[in-house]
Amino acid sequence: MTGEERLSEFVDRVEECWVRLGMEATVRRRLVVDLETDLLGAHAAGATVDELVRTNVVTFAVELAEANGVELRGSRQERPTTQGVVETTILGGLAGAILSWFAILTGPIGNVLYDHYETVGAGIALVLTGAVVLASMGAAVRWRFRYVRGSTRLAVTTAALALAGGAVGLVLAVGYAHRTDFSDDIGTIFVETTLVAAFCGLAIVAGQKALGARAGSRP
Amino acid sequence: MWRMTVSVERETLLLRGTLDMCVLALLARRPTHAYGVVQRLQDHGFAQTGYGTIYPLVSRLRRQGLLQQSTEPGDGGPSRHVLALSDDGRATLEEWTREFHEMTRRVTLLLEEA
Repeated sequence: MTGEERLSEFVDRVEECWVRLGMEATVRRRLVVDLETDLLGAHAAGATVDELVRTNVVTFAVELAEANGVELRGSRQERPTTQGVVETTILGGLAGAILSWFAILTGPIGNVLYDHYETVGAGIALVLTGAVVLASMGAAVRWRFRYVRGSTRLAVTTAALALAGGAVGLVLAVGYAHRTDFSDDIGTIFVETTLVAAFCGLAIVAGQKALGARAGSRP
Repeated sequence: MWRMTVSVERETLLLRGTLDMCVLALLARRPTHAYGVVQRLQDHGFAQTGYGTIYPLVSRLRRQGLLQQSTEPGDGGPSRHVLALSDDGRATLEEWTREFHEMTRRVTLLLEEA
């Protein structure tokens, strides 16, 4: 693919975002022509294609539209507050847990694990469940704040904090399970799950506050 | 690694409030295209400032009437949009520069006394 073709592909991706976000066709065409002219001009002036397209396409499309005074439908340029991140993480984690429940613990993957690996299968299933829940948390945060610069880093940081908090919660939950002789009573399982979820939430809140304070971005 | 990330974030935050003024200052000296602005910022040590940041910024400044854009034919290549300061842009740059000096004076004083 030539440099011009890569630039053209980049412009197409930006335009796709604008279409998706409901930018009016006349305005869109004008901005596309301008962007294409400027990118080709910059390339002719010596800029490498990588230099020109090394950016998050969605963020770039939204920022450029706003810079030109264009309102986009549903771009939701909300800043990620601690409360917003925690809420999104919990919802993402719940979705991941439900998905895991059907696919891993009770579904075909679980059957294969239990049939072939017997007791080790339960451990693998739990690790897989944790991985799916963490991935869902990160994906939910990344999706909700997708129009904000740095959303990928925010998602990774949140998942890492949830992992750290979850690990502490898990240790306490196992301790509690041991005390209750590994009871499968619904009340006991509820307490264990709540412990893990609470420590995930606490770690995210504490981590967000610490990060915000260190970066000096909090008022 | 952690300290480096925080340091970059800190620099980005500091730059966020002054980047538009820097762009106006560069264009006050010599009109150029958007990529020329990126190059000149990088020559001044703003290595992390890329085209993806500058292009929307100059678009906003143009919409606000602080920059004027003209089209020049390229040397055998595609035509180029050249950006220059408008009269409003020049007045705004003077005002922002004054405000910036006043702010840095106060911050410096505070840091020296702390």
